[in-house]
Amino acid sequence: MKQSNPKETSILGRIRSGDREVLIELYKAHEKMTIRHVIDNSGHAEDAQDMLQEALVVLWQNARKPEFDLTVKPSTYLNAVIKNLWLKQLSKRKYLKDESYISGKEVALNPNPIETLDYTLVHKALDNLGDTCRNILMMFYFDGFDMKTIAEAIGFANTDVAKSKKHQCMKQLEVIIKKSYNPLDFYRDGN
Amino acid sequence: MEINDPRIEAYFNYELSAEEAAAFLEEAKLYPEVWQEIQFKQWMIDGIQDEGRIELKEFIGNRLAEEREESTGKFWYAAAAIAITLVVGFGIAWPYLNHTNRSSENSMVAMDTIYTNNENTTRLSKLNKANPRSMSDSTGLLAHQIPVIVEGEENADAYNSIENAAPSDDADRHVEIQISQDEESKQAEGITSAPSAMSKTARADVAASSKFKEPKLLAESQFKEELVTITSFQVKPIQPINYKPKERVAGNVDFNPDRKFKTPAQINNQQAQSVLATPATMEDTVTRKNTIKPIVVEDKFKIVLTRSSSGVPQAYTSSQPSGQGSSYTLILNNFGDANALVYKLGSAFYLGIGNLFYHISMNNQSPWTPKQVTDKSILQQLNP
Repeated sequence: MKQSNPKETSILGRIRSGDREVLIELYKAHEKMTIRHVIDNSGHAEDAQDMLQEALVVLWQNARKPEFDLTVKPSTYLNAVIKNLWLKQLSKRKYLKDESYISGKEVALNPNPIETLDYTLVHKALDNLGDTCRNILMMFYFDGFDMKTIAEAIGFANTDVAKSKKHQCMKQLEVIIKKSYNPLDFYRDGN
Repeated sequence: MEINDPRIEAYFNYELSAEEAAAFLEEAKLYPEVWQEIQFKQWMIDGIQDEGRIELKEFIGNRLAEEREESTGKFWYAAAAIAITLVVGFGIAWPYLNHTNRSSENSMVAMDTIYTNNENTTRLSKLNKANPRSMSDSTGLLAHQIPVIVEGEENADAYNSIENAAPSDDADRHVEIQISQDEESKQAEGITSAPSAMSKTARADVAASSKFKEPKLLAESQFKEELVTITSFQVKPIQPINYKPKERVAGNVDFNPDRKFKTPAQINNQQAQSVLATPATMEDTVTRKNTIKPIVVEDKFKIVLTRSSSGVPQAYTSSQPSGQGSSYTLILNNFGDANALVYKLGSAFYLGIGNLFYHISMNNQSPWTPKQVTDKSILQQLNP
């Protein structure tokens, strides 16, 4: 496996330690490149800025995964992610543009329906949670921190307390959602 | 499998291995209620992650906006600081700047009328009525230069600005204009006593400046000697003009037939510009706008000064008829780099260089050696 250079390791390390400022630095370093790429491919500067932010979020989330290792330059990685995201975006636009002519087969080939689910309900429920619960759930499910880190960050005595609290928060979120909405609406057939 | 199966909690806490998780999901699909619960929890977690993505993007966007705002704020702060500095500096420097501007304005007026080098051709060209190139072409020496002729009613500007410039003691800036026979007759009619000395030797001197500011011009010269300056101007009898210094700067000064002339004694006691005219009011200017201008005899002069390090001073005069007067081209070799002036006393022309005055030979087509003026009466009139 290719050895990561200290700078790249540092970027990965900073992301894993939850340092969001590294994203700002990466954004500034890659903004021009991204804009050039997107504009050269039928996009606008605003699209490029959006794509770069998306790519940084992807990097942030992937960096949490234990198996993830940045074996290429951050610019190469981000460029690849941006290209994929932009191609996906262009396909989506083309799909929306040709929506009235889409065939049944194309509907069947439509990407994972989960992507079309509306998360507004969850967002609202999260807003109704207390700050601690919200932070625990966000740190665990989005930032990917382990329970030990969360316990230290929130100030719990140990990981068991954090784990228990996280369980309670998840239940609380579920209750808030189920209070207003029927979970059957979100049922997906596994077959 | 039941809905409270501990593997469900373990699955969403990422505590199962990949194999265990895959096996768990396959089994859960067989139990619709459990599968529904798993799908619901997965949807909640996806929603949390989506919220996290939105939040992170907002964080990036907000931080960048803050930085841009900060840099913009710094820019405006710097711009405001510069503006304040400029305003304060300008306020402090205003008295000096104002003084400089006035000086510059005055000198520009003088430049319009007197100084005639290539830089000022555009400004001077508004004074041209005759075709100055005709003379240039006849000599064949001036093809690449544009002489300027001061003539006609716009000479009023010239007189005015010359008058303004005269107090600076630049001998080459003053103009004295010959009184025409028409004017003399008007004076004789009783307006004022015409200066007898002046009427006979009424002179029309137009200053010709020879500024040596054009090294490029010198390099382009085809002469063996170094071509320095060409000045074209016109000499004509004195004509009355309205005299109102501030208005004259703006131009458009008409003739004032009611002008009163001063005696030779007064002339000798005053500077040349005071001889030109008496002050006139604005009403004079308005009411006499359509006054018929007196016919005057004109002589156009063009001076070509050349400069070389050694050699005997030598001059060359060429002339040709030009309307009512004559056109002359005077080429001066080895006269140094002092300004050259041409004076007309009666029908004779004199050349003034520095403090020395020379007779100008009007012998066409042949070079002449300058002969210094020694007659005191002439010298007194040339240099009162």
